[in-house]
Amino acid sequence: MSAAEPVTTLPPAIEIHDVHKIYNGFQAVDGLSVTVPQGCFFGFLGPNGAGKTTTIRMLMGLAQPNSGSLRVLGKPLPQESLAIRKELGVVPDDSLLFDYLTGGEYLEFVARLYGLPRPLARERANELLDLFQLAEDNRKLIGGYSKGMRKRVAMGAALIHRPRLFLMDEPFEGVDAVGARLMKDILQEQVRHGATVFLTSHVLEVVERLCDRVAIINRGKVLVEGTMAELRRQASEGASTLEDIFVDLVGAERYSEKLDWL
Amino acid sequence: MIWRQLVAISWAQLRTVRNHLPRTSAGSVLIWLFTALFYAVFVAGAVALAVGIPRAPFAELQKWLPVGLLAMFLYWQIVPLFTLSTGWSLQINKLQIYPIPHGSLFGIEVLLRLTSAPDMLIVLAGAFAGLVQRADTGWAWAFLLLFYIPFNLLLSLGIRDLILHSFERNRFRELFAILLISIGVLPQFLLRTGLGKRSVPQFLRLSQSSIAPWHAVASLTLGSFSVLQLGVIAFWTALAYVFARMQFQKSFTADASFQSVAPPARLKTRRRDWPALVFQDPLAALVQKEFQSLLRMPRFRVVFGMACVFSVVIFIPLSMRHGSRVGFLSQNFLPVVNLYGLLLLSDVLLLNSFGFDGRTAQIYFVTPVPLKTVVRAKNIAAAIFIAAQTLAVLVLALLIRQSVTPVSIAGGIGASAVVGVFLLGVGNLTSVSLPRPLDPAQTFKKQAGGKMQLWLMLCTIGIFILVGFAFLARWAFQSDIALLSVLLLEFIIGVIFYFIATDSAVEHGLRDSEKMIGALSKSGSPIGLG
Repeated sequence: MSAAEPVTTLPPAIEIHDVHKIYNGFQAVDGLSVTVPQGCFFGFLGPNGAGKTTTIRMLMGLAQPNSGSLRVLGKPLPQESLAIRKELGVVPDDSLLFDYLTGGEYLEFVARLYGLPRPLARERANELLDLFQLAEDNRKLIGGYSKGMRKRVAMGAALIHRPRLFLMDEPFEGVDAVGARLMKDILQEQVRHGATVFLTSHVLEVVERLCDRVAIINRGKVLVEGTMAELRRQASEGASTLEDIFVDLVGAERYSEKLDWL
Repeated sequence: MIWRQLVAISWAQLRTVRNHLPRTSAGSVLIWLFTALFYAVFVAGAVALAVGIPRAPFAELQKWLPVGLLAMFLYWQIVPLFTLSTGWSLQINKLQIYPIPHGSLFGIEVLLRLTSAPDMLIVLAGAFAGLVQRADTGWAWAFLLLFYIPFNLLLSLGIRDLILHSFERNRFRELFAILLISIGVLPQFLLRTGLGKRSVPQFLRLSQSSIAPWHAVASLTLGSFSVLQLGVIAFWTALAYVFARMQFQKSFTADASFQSVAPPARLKTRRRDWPALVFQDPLAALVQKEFQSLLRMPRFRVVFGMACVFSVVIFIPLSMRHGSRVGFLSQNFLPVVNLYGLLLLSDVLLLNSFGFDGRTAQIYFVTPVPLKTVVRAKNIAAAIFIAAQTLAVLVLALLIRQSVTPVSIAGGIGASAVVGVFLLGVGNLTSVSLPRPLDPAQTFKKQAGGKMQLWLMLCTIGIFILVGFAFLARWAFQSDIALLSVLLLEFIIGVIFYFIATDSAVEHGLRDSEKMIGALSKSGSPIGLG
């Protein structure tokens, strides 16, 4: 858990109020309401298809809710989308990388999109390449990167403009232990400096260790939300870890089903 | 087991095609209509053969059947390369992980070659129907015509795979592609330049060569059975099989991952920084990114190279009449070649400008950049490439001493500018309303969807009308000033249209961003459509 206490005098980093999102008749998000204070490391969990990615995509402005309201850093979406985007650092589930740019070129490109002057953009790009151990491959095109390298360069792109809010969908997926550790350290450092991290991950141990607050959703609705201590209190007896609580809430019935042929 | 796998692959393909087909739209009806019209020409040819062959004197048939089969062979092997459309083919990288014997995959791949030249199968069917009716040769012999199909299918597969493997060699591929495609216009070149007079007898001699597969098949189907002729066609088919099998086998050993594109030299990287000298960020960054990525994409490099070089090569013979340089095409070489080049570029640069970005186009919606700036950056890059293509064509035309006068230069630039500005406007609309991911590594596949092909067709008609007005004015007033004035007027109208269309496209893109991103994120099927 992060050492910093959430800063309560500022508007919440994220306010999702009664949001509904329907895709081709399928209710992906069903009346979701979540508030994330600024300076918080927030874990957003749920089984596959629960609505996590849809929620993150709505926060990124890539999808519009059918009803309900979203506010990011006190500003309403989509009305102030452009202003909000300036403050966001995003690592989506499918990294937004241009295969025909090198890692350095991509980082510099993104920095310039965020309005950084070219010399500064280049300087930061080089520093991030060094930090994420991509400098040795700085002449390699991203299309030739491994999955872990792609995640690392995506992480670099999310950091380059020092955003106030990070939206991260499975950021550690495919990253080796050293890289993942580095990414976690950086994110914790950012939270200590007042940034907010909104994170989804299926690695529950990581979420348990990193996050101040956690929300578990299923079928587009929040099942529980709070600190780990609050979640333990709400969970059934014997559920001590986040995995226990998670399985207890959304996955228990799966174990009762067995396939004869398997 | 193997049969089940074949059925499973076919089923998956049919489902994919069905799921991708537009349900009901005027566009799809028009596409079917145009396709039907195209094939109707070949059906008419087939009917003519079916009716004409039974009545033809035997001696004439002996002379012309091998010629027809040789022509068919050339069409079958070269035209798919010429149109950059190699038919359907298996996506080996997607099927390789499953326990399917290579032999089965090879069998399917050979059958899929049927899609590379269905027009030739129609013509062959007509010839077959005609031969069956002949009393003097006997209907049974006509079946030997079918020998020609596996030979052509296997050779076509081998050539296709050979080209694709050659393309894996970096840098070499673009040059090779242009060279190879230029071979496609060689017969036309020979015929139109007067060299054809010397070439036709050679072509006829080649058709009568007793060791050639077309002659062997023709002899056999006309009832002149000999073991030697049977041996000849069997030998060529076996050779084509070995060639195709070897090339196909290479597909499994070839690295299917991201090709080893040579890293850019630092000097080159610096040179590409120039947009920052002209524009401000984020526009400069976006323009720079367009140049950096497009110039590294094999698909773009081939198409751009074709627009610059191939367009000139293809129109040289057309602009000559028996060696002398007269006529409309020779007088208007530059405008015509420029417009053809523009049409080639339109698919990758104008009408589907987000295609190469694919799902990464999401970045334009999560970073604080107005969509209008993104569209403008893509348009600036496209305009520069169009200007470069126009310049390249002009230089080539000067080098080969085509008739280049100040008026023809002005006409060429004017026509490019008019068509370019209209295509940019139309392209901005289609790029947001009909986006489709393009594979930058696929040099030899048509990637435009049905609707997009319809747009291409409409654009071609529009271009003829637009530029036609200007030439009509010159003809009516017998004045080059009239031509240039109309082009200028059209350009002004084009600029107004461009701004209106771009605003509308941006509005549409923002409103339907989810749909747009969804369309750009679609992935392929077990069989690639070429």
